Amino acid sequence: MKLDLEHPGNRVVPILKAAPELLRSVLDGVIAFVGILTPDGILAEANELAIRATGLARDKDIGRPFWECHWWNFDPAVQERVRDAIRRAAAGEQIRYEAEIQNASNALIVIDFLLTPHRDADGLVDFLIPSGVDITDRVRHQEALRASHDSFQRLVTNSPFGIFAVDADFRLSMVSIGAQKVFRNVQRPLNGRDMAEALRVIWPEPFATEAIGHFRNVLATGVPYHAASSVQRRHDTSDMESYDWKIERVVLPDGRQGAVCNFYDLSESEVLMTALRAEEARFRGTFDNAAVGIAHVAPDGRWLLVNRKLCSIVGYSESELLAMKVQKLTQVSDIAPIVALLRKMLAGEINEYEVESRFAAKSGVKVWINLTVSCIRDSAGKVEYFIVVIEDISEKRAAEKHQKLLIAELDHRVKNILATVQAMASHTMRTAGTMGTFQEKFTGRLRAIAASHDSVFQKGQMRADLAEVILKQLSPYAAADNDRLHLSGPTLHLGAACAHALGLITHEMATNASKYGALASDSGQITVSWQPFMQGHKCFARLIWQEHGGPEVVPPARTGFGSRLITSTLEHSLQGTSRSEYLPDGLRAEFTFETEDSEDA
Amino acid sequence: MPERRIMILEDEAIIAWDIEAELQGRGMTVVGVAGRVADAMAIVERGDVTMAILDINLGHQRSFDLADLCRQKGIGVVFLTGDSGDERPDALKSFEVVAKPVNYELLVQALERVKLK
Repeated sequence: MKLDLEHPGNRVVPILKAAPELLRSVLDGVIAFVGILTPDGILAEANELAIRATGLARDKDIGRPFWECHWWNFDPAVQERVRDAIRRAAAGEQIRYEAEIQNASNALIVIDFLLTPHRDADGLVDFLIPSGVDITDRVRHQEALRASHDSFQRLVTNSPFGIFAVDADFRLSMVSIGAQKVFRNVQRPLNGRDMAEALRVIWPEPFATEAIGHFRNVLATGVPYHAASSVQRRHDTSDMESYDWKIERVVLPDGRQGAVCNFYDLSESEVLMTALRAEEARFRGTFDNAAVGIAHVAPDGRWLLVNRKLCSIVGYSESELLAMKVQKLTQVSDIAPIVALLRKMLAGEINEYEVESRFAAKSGVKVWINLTVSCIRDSAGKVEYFIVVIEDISEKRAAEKHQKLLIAELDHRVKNILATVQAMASHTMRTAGTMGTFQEKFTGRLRAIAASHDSVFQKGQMRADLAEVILKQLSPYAAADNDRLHLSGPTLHLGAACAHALGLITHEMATNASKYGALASDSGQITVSWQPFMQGHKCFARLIWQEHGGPEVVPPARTGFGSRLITSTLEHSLQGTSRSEYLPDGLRAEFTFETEDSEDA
Repeated sequence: MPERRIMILEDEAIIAWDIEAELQGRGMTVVGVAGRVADAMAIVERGDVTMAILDINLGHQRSFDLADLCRQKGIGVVFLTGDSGDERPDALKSFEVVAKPVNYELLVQALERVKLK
């Protein structure tokens, strides 16, 4: 504001006279303190605000040295500083400083104090204009702001979390304790260190340049940056480290824009995750390669997890199973007992059960399984899921069934042999004249049964070799390696029943020969030959028994037990035929019989 | 009272023959002996059989179908078996079973208990 004074000079009165009323009222309306001093510091005038708000008294202070007025007179040092300012201003210098003064209520306030020299037309200082603006609030705010910035800095610096700030000059300005580790190989002090330099120490290219770009971009645009999980090998240590980091633009304590980066070190959790993954892989390996079916099943029956073996047992793929419930597979038999056990488990009465049941495979086949069910409960004891182990026992079941059949078959055979022995005994009894004859004949026939039994059971196949069956019956009478016995024919296997029957037939033929035929003399010989043939779909054999060189042949007067046994056995049991001729050279018998145990015997 | 004319079905020749001999020795009439179900069926169809002694287990076959035919024809049946279990279908449970080896006194008593129609 320029005062238009009519009379230049350094006297107060002409100035005051020259000051128009208008100007006075303008000054009075200003919210600043404005006054006029003589060059030697006498307060010539002050505006209304100065007078009202600052405890000046127009009648008392006008005309007095400025430094003695109420504003300053609480402290001689303050007064001295004002005097000095006045002296310098009178010499032509403009003085400005933040000054503390006391107001009307004797409270100290801070003003932005300005002392401006005014020069007349000759350039001489004719008066001084002191002015002041109350900046107490501003100063307090500044102090509060500084304090809050200090707190902010302390908070950041002492944080165990990773926080650091980059200032407008792209220099590190704050690094938290938690962030020190990241910067461990960056030269100290960190504050003031160029951010690009620091990043290049820590990270290799191209990542370092990318990171620098992210910081610069945030600084320039204010658009925050966030990387949820960046995994990098460090340039300085070669360690793999992983961070979740975020950059945001903020105003730093210096009043300029900067970037704050806060980050979370995921490396530790990465280690845990790796361990977890290894554990999971081990579990998966065991689970998937198990020789039994294993599954996790929800309380409502949904499959949660199934292994390969289970899939192969039931014939459904993993995805098919996961889309269905256990109940679909168990609807093959009465599952009431299983349901009852499940209820007990859900109720917490039992923790495990094992039961044999059947599952309906995808193919429709009902698979016998051994089902073991246990469960995982939550802390309240409620079942979270079932652990189900499923073992395919179809083969075991089949083996058991087969074994039962074998036992039944053995039972049948043993009883049949006993019945045969009984029948043999009573037949022998009916024909034997004396106990001595009975014993001899019965024992012989018993041995014949036992011998065929040996042939059948020795090879464990319930079958016998025809030549062996015949030889066993003849061996008590003639050794196989002497000239009296000639066997000829292809290898032929006989079913068990056939072998027993043929054994008895041969026994009867041999005893007969030893009494009346070829074996009754020292020179007689027996030739047995056979040949297989088919009758319909059935395997038969034709066997020819030829005796020669024995005593004179005399056809028997009546049909004895032996020949009747032969005929009835061949015809009744072996669907065969029997024909005997008493030739001059010896007996010739021709038998046909079915060699396999007939399907419809 | 109709005459007891007996048919025997037994696949083992010696046993069949022995049963026939024992029954004949006790004055009973045996009108047929068969070793196979098909042969026995033919004898039954002939029409002169009033009683049948049927071995249950004939190797690969069972005699239950034949027993059922006998039941329909009013022919009395006594089963013979060497097996431990009882395989008889419910419809045939009224027919007695005599164990093998055969106690002929028990077999004869069982035959005499059969009511002829």
